[in-house]
Amino acid sequence: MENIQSRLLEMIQKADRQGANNLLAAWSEEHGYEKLLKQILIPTLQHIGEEWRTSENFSIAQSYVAAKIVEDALFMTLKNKKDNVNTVSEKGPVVIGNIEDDFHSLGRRMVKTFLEADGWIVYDLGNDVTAEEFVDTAVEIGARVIGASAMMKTTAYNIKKLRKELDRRNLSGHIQLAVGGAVFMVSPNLEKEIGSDGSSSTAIDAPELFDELWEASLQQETVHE
Amino acid sequence: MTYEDDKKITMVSCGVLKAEIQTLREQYWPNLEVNFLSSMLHMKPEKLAASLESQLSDDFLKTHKYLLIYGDCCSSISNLSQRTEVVRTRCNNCIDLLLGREQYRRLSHEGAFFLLPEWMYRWESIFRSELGLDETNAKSMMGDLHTKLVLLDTGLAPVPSQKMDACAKYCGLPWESLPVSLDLLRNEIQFALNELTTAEVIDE
Repeated sequence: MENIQSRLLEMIQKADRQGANNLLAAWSEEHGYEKLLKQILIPTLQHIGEEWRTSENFSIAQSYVAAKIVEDALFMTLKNKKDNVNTVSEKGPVVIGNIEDDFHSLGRRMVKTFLEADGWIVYDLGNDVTAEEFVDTAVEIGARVIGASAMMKTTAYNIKKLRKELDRRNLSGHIQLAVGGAVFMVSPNLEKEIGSDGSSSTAIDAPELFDELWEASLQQETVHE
Repeated sequence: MTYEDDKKITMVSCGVLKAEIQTLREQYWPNLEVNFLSSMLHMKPEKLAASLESQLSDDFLKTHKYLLIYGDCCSSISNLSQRTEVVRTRCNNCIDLLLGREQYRRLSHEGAFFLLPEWMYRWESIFRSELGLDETNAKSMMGDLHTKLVLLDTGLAPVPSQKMDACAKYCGLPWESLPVSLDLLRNEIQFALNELTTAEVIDE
């Protein structure tokens, strides 16, 4: 098992998407597609997540390829899924998007991939999304978590409008606000300043954050009942 | 309350706009000094921050005022530009500085990936070495995120058609050039200069 994980890691480091896909397809044929996510991909991604947090040497290509390999693996798993086998648990609907004026979509797309791999139903609103659009969609689909992404400080400040909109409609607490993007890694106080409920330092960590925030939303309602 | 007009005004600009800024400076602000920093610093925001901070040291600020011709290109730039002696152009990045917010938004929604003439000279090393994207991954990533390459043609050099063809092939996207005037850039610089020269300084 460790051997395939280290080979997969090596291919991600070389940004070798095709090689990784071939490797995972061969393993899945032998051991079963339903085991791929839990036994191989998730442990490998956890390892990569550690490296992302501590190393400056990960390139955009490596990050992108890691996300694409997960996307490819999800597609491959669904294609080969036996009708009676549930490979991914079903989790609630969530909304993500880049905040108003922000067009740096790579990180958001990676978050989407990792959330979907974790079973979340993700409504991705794309780039340059206004506070009203975020909240309207969250209300419409029953999302308890909104994930807003920003690359720069100036656009991150637009997330304040989202907090204000949630407050204005008395939805804060019921709908939790997650934030992410490069600027939050270098400005540790920013997430509190703009009124977020939580952030994760990498896209790989997003599912854990969304689990926590979903739970916080449920807890909030228990307290108020 | 006084106005410290005796301080020397220096513009600090990203090298990606070197030709454009030099052209405007010759015509409108020939007495102002301009320091250009390498546009490659954009790839390493922490190095850009260090370079800007060294330009704007406390010692220099005793005798200089600074106009930063930059977008929100590194995390500390907003703090730097909050100093009394420093003003930054009103923009998120160098593209909306040339195009204006609405045109930038419209084209971004269409999926444009913007290129500037200075950047085009080393597009391949940026993709291959800085971003680590070989042609296969470049095609995949650019195709995921964008629909076309848009070169902003500021009219100061011939459109590098061969380089654009090669870059477009590498990215698997079509390209187009968009003629842009320097009027918006000039207006933003002038606006910032006006702010700088009327900045109030409280007597200690």
